[in-house]
Amino acid sequence: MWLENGTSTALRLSTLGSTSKEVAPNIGDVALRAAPPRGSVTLDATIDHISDGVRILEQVLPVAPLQLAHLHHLQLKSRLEVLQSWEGIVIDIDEERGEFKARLSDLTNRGGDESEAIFDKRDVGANEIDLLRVGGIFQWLVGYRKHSYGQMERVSAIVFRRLPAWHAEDLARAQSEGEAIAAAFGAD
Amino acid sequence: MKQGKRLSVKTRDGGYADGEGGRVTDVDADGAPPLTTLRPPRSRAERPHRDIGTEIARSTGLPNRSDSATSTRAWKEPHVAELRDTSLSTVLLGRFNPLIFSPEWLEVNNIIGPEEAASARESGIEVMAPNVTSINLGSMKLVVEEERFVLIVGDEPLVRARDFPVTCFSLLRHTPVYAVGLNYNATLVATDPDKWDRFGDVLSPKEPWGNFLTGPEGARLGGLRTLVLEQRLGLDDRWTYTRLTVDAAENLPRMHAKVNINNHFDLGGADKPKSGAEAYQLIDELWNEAMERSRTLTEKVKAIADVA
Repeated sequence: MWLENGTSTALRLSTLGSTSKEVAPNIGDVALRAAPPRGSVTLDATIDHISDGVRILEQVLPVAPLQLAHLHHLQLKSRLEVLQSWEGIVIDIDEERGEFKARLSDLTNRGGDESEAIFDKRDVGANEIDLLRVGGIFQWLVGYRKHSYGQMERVSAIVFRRLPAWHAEDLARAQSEGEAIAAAFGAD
Repeated sequence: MKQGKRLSVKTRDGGYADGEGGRVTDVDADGAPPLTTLRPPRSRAERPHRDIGTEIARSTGLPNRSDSATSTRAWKEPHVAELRDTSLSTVLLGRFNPLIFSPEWLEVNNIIGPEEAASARESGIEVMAPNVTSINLGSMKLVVEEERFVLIVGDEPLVRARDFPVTCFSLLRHTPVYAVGLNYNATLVATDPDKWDRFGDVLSPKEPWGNFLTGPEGARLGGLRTLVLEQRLGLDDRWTYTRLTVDAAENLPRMHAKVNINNHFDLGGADKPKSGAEAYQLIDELWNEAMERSRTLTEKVKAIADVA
């Protein structure tokens, strides 16, 4: 860890032996230095001065390789073992009855028949309800949710997909691709 | 049309799956859909599947113990290996500003939902600094460093490992990106120590190593820890390689191995990076194929363990 006082608020990640620039330290009250172990990743930090003269430690976060590896670790409390899943597209919403109709294609047995289903709007969670609109795409998952403490429950879950909006550039690209294909087939 | 709370959908193999809360019809051209009866699949075993075990047995010459036609022991040990804890991760290498990836930004741009964002703000942020951001998002984890974007999705729907980065980089269209990795991970768990050893022998035969791994009277002195295979198919100019790793790491319990499929795509290289727009188009175009191939490859590893 390198800890210097100075006016910069820069905080950067550097690896020993890399070409990253070192912040030039100002001579001041605090000077704590310990050479990082070879190959380690460190977060360099500086101390900032604020107007009332109080020193604030902006951020000192030594990130050793093991800690960095820890950041890449995902701890789950439960997992869903899917028995059957479908992808659906909302084709109609009946606000009066609190239902929506969707066309489903089977993800478990791809290439199967399409089906239509009517779902209760209450099956859609608060996190997803904004996405419930005609054309919205969701996955309907049926399976067992297995909890880390050993309990298992059968669940049916509807999760809407969050897909990117079309950009003008994407549409222009699709149009030019379409035109190229049409030209290849000699279409007018 | 069937009315009521229960909901069922007919599957291709003639079985049925169900959920609660609606009614279902098969789509029929004449507009007179037949009623369906409810019968949920009881387990994974009921699903139709490719008999990869037979394929492997044919190609390796090993007996297929999972095939009752070739083994009287089949009923005792149909499948000794199991794949668990499937997760997907999407990795991009480039030049990133980790501070952009805040719960607020993700919510405003419809990459996560309002509840997920609230939960992330409350307890999900591990680090948010100019050089590294790490946020727990329920069953997802986002870690962004200055040169690396990593999204790990540990639970269904796993397709979020596609949708999340695609939406991010459709917005960050001019961000330099020079490589993309689409990764499929699972844990292979076996129950029979003898079969586990034979599985290692199939992947890495011990005979060429002489007494390095085999002691007097054939005693085992060690075995395979990690196997890495790389395929370069050239399916797409950007698809550099697919790398399969089977890793029986020391920190895993006995008869456990991590199976990782890394689909790597180069986008110009570190000195000539391409854009976020090209990265998201790549993921959008090649995701399904990469994941389908990865799933098949992972099932093949399991099948090798089954027939060993």
